[in-house]
Amino acid sequence: MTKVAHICTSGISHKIMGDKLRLLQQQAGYQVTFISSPEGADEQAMQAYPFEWKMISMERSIKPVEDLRSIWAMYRLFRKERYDIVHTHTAKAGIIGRVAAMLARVPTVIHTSHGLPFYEGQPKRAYQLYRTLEKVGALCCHALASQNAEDAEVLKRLAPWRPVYIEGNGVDKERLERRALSVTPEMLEQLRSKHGIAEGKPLLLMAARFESVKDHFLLMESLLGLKREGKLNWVTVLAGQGPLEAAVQRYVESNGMKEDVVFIGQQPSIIPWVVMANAVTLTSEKEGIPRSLMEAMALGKPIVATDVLGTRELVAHEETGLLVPYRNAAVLSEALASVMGDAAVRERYGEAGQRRIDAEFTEARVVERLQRLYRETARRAVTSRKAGVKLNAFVKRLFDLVLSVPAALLLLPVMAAVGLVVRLKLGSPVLFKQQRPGKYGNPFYVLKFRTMRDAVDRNGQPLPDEARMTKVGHLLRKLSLDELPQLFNVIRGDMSLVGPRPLLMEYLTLYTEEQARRHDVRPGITGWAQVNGRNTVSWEDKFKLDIEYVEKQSLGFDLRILVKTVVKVLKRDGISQQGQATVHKFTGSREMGNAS
Amino acid sequence: MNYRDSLYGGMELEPPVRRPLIVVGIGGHGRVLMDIARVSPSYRLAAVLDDRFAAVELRGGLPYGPIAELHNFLADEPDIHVVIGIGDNRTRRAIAERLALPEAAYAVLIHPAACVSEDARLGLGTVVMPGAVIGPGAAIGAHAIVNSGAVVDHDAIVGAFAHVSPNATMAGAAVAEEGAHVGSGAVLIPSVRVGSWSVLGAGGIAVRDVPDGVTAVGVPAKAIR
Repeated sequence: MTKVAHICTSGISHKIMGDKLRLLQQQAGYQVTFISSPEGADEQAMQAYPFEWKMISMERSIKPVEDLRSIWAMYRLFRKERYDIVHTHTAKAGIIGRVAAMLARVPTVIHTSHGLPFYEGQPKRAYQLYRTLEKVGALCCHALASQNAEDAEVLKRLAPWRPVYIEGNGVDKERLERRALSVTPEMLEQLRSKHGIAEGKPLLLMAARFESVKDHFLLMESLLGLKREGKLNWVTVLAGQGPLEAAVQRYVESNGMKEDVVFIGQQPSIIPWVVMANAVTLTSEKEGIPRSLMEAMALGKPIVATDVLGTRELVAHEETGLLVPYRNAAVLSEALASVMGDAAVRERYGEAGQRRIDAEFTEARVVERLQRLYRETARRAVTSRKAGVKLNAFVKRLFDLVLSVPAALLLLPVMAAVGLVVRLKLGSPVLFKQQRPGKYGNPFYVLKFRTMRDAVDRNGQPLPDEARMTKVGHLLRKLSLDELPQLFNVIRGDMSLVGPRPLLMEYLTLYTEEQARRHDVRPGITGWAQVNGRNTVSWEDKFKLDIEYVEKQSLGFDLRILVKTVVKVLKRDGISQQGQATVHKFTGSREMGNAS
Repeated sequence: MNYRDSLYGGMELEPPVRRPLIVVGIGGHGRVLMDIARVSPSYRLAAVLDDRFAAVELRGGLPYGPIAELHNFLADEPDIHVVIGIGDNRTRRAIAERLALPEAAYAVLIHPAACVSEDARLGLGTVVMPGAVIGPGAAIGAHAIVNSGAVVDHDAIVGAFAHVSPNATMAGAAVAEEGAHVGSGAVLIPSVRVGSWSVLGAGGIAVRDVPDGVTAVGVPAKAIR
């Protein structure tokens, strides 16, 4: 059985990790250990989970001596327990855990960021320190993951030499539903009377800590506006505690809204309130990913929330609820009134929300993504051990440089001539720069000579490829001269001479798990698929050839492909399909079901 | 993350949180500070206080209220920071005295488009506006204002409650004493000093020290009262 250790700085993180780890253990069959500092860990919480929970003290701030002690303790634990995978979370545990795992030679080490510690606009020294620490961390692991697409982009720039995954977030829908089903009408009755909520009054719920980032005051202003217009015909329930609770309460009282806004404090379970609510709202300035809304959507509730980072990824506007601009009380009032006043809309949003959760935001989906991450990372590790790829990679890079540097120098006059022709016939710019997926799909800019005109139609849309193709361009492509500047991509290390062709960024999501392996190596100027027919082979067959290359790669194979390429170019065949200037778009394979 | 935090002491490696900020005063200067808070990576605007409000009211979800509400907000959110958004140096000092807050309650508010040397020291309650440049070794006192596009070059000193106006230039090691007002576009040549609570008029060039408590104008600047 595969042994996985998940490490978080603070024990309190069990709240976001617990459900996921439970599934990973019980359904995916991993043997899970959760490692954290004792902070936020109590007997009750520990016993609620089926996996093992170990404590190692970790400081949240940078304290060199304590940190070294933590690393040492963790190193000893890793040596003793021999985990197959060490998966770290949050910034501090990420550094300590990854360094310890590397020292202990754990076979697979993975780190997930839950919000990055460095960001634009930070004092420069802090920014550099944090960024450097994250970079060191990236050196000490095999793959990186993030909670959202935005952070993933930052990570790709930080460590283009590491695969970056999006782990995402989810709720345990079955458990939620079970807990919702156990809520009886009598319980709801009791709750209503306990908090003095009139029977039959519709209910709007906001569950959030009372702190300024949640902007309860925005909601209060909207409600007051509605009340003054006589349109406030529901009760708003505010769940949670926090520093601003008293201030919000004072505001509610001084504006005569005591009947309309009910404070229920910290609840042992929020589920009955979600069940009772007609709609759920959140007015925060930004979120990681709002779990309270995720749970509400899973239970079929419509959402009215601010259109901000995090929330935006979860709520689909006019589909699963309404998103309103941040700090615009008037628009929020309108949105709340429209949703609270229309049962049909609420039902429609609620159902769509449930479907959206099912499709993307369940813990089961997260665990599927985790399993794929573990599978792929482990497989890469195995290939690299088997083939002695470390030496191979070094030799290959050397080979690339030995060939491409003199080639670039020799071909400089040719390139200058081609550049001149392009400049004269097509104008400036001479080079064509396009973002393409490099190793592990991390983007780089590929360089080519321009072969097409920039012609656009009346609406500013580029004309079809055939209309933009030029005679000169055609000739350049036929002679493959347009690809020459890629020698510089090779020298820079974005590409290799031989490897799968870098295709378009938009294809990345379309690959099956098998096809995605073509990105385990640096892309090449020429490749096994190209010498076997270039643009005349189907996409699926090309990918098969690419994978074959990834599996068989060796110096001899590279040489063979290079020789074949030279022969092909000299014979000038198979570059384009009949009657078509460029290649058909790849739109995914028939086994798309596997791609996620 | 704030300027006040030393590099390692107590710095958390976990993702940053924007601290709540209260701006006191809603005149022209106060509104500029509100704007800075909106783009600041360290602060988020939590409330605006000014005695033109009789009670707390909300606009765009932001509470506006009388200055007397300050202690309520501070009691609710202990990590709140305050900055005084009043341009006039003496009034700003008067308000600071009236608030009688512990020094640590004040923010240092720096627009992300200002360039502040890592070797400059900034007093609590001081604000730095977009385009301002503060050089290495410069020292700025509490509750000072370094306005848009102003240059406080290396080793220059700006006293507490002083105001360096838009586009003013303080060359290396120049000094604006406590409460001094360096007018828009005025220049202090290197090492020259403008005395406490003195005014150097807009466009004036100080080539010799300006004594305390006077107004000096012109090129070269001469005291007129």
